[in-house]
Amino acid sequence: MEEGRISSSQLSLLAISYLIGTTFLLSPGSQAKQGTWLTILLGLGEALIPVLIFTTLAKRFAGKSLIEINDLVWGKIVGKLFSLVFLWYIFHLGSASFAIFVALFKTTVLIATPEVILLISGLLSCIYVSKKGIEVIARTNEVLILITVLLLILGFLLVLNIFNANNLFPVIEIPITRLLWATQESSSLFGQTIVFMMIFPYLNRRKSCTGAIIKGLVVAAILLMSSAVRTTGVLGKISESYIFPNYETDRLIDIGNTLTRLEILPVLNFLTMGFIKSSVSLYVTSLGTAQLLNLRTYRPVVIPLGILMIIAATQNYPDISSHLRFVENIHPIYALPVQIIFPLITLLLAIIRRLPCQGENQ
Amino acid sequence: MIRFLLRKFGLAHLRKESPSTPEGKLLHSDLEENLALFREELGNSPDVIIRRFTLNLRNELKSAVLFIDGLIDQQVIYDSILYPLMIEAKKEKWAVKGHLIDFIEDNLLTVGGVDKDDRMPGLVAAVLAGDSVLLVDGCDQALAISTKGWEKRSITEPDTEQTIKGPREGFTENIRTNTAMLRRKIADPGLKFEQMKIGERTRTKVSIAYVKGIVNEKLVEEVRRRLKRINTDMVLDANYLSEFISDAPFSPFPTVAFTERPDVTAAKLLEGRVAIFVDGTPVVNTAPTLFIESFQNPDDYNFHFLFATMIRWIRYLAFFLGILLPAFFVALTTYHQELIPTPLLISMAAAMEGVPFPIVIEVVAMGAVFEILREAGVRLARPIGQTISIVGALVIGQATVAAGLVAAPTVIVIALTAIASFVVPTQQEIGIILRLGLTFLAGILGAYGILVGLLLTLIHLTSLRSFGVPYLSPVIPLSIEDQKDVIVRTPLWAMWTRPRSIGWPRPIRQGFGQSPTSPEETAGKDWSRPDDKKG
Repeated sequence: MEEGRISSSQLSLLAISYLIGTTFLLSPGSQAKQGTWLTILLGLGEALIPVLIFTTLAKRFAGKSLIEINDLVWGKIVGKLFSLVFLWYIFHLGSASFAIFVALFKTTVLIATPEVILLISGLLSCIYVSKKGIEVIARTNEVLILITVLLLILGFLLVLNIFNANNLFPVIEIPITRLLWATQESSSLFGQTIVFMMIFPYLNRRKSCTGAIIKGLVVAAILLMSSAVRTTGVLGKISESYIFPNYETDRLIDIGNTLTRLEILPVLNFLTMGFIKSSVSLYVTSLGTAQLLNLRTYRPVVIPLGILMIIAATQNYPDISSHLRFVENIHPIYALPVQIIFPLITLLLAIIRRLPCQGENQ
Repeated sequence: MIRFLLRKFGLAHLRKESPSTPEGKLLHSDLEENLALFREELGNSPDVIIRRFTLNLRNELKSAVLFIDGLIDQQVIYDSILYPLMIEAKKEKWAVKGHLIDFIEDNLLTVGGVDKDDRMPGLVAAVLAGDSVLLVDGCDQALAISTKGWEKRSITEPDTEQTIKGPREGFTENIRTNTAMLRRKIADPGLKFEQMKIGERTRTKVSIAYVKGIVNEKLVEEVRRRLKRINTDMVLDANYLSEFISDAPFSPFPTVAFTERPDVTAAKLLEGRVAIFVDGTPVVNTAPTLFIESFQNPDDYNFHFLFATMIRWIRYLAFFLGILLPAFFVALTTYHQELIPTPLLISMAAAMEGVPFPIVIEVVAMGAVFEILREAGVRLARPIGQTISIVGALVIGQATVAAGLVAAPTVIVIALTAIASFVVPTQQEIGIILRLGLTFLAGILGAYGILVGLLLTLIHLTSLRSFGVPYLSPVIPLSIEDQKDVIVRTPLWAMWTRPRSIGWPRPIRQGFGQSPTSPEETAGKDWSRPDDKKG
């Protein structure tokens, strides 16, 4: 079904891209105002719970994807139901990143272009790379993440003259319940790495998956925190009132009246990372569907699923404010079953049933 | 599918028939009958020469030498075949023992290569390759005597790959000269040539060259396999082979490299690559090929490394300008005017005032004009070439701007692109395709279109392989020790390993830490190669 192999460092890089893919623009925990960076840090800590659960599961069933694990542990019918929920979630994540992409372009860069043109051109590259397999996705990502990190550092340096450290204080201004909710919001973001349950079987060294994912999480958290600090420092309290605060920050760049209005930088970052996020989601959804239906290859389902994904993007998120509501109020709870509950009970049942049996796990 | 269609339309006979078997007619013992056989095969071409003479050994024997005029060296035929057989043979009283033809081969002929054969196909092939065939009345065997010699071009510097410093020699059309030039560069017994004949009609000599001990044996096996499955009529140039053996036949990116320079070929072989020589062309294929090779020029290693590094950056810059500049220009002027500094924007707007076409059409049209000029300039004879440049510069450059058909900034952009596209010659063909595609995408979607185009290109590049080696290596997948020759060209004494993806069977190229130091420090230092120490 998939012959490619990736190394654990490539997996880490993929995890970073997947996490920062859409969150550059929609920073998690932004309702915590100046404390956004703190909620990201707390969210990272909380996200270790789901990550440890599902990587333990993956290591217990080395070489098996989540779909296959579900089948083994729960039997054919219940297992397939669990897998369906999981695939729906990943499919949903992919369509969400398409939706953000459209929202960004419709409001900022290409205002008059019909959104279907934007979606189709974006989808084409996602389909192309998904059909090429995980190896190509991982390698493409290596280049893109290098560019992204360089641009991020550049972006940080360029706002130093308009950066006001006073904007960062006081750190916590909101009630503790709001803070906890915001923490759960960013934790549910980091928990999205469960998508890699489908990619672990293609690792060079399968035992290294926990370390690779955690490395990816930490780097992504650092990147997101620096970006949050930058936005708050430049925009101050009003940062919350923008839909895309990062975009607004780069608009304010002004170095000696020559380097001005570099809002293309966050767009570029978002496009490259969002492309990886959509592609990985599309790839995993296709691979999972193929495994669910016992197909010989996942390639024929890539195009139909991709088309469904952009349809879902336009139908689920008619506008950006409904998307924001979803991310802030619904996703933290919506993600819980897939990220924590299902893996946890699967792991527990596997322990109780003493799965995998000897011989099944080489 | 294709076979089915062919059958359906009764076109099955159009398919290539398999090569005929080597079985053929045997020689007779009568000279006239043998000559008739040859005439039947070779026809009455005026260049087929039959020189009859009388051989005086025990008794007078009618004999003949048959060769093709122009393919042979007259001097060799006279000095080493006719003179001994006609004059020397008479001088002594020979006691002929054994078979007559063996006796001639052993005692009279003073030529290096002599083969005995009794079948027509082999002999005819030998004649066509420039050998002379000696037929003697009463013998049912003949001798194919190596008398090859034809007009050759002298060794000159290749026009397409010139260097400022460094050797001034390039390959010629003669495969033997070429292999000899390579041997002169690499005096290692490990340098091996494997010859085969490809092309049913042209019977072109093709040699695989590699350095045993450095090359990956599997790579040689793969090259051999891919060459052997070629079944075609003609091989007239190296590209006739590379299109058959390329990994990605539909990709515009070359996965087999070309060079006309012995020094480049030698360097590539010593990194563990395989070269494919084709007779009749100065162009040599090398494989596997990496994307980065297009940016590595032989002059990089002939100049100081700091300068070479800077020039390499210029080359990268020129490559990206060559493919991106028109697209950026279109995107900026059509969609993202806010990114242009205001004074520049005003002057550009003034220049574009009154131009009747959208910018993307202007850019594509001017690009087409440039390509037409380039193609005309390449094909035309030198004296007429000047006319082209005058017409191009004056009429198209000056007059179109003056007439207001094209804006001056467009002409500047196209001119800069044109110059930049010549800096990296091996990627020039791709440059044209990418430039056109990206310009269209920029016209439709602005900077986002450019990004989509670049993403698709990047995906394509990462999925490419050349003989099993990832095309973008050593950047993707990253190998740290190979970064010595990518962004920077490190000093030669620091390049102590061969490329990881290619020459890894024996990775150590030279001793480590040979940077020049003062004599006191050098004293007592171990210069031997790590490989040698292991034994």
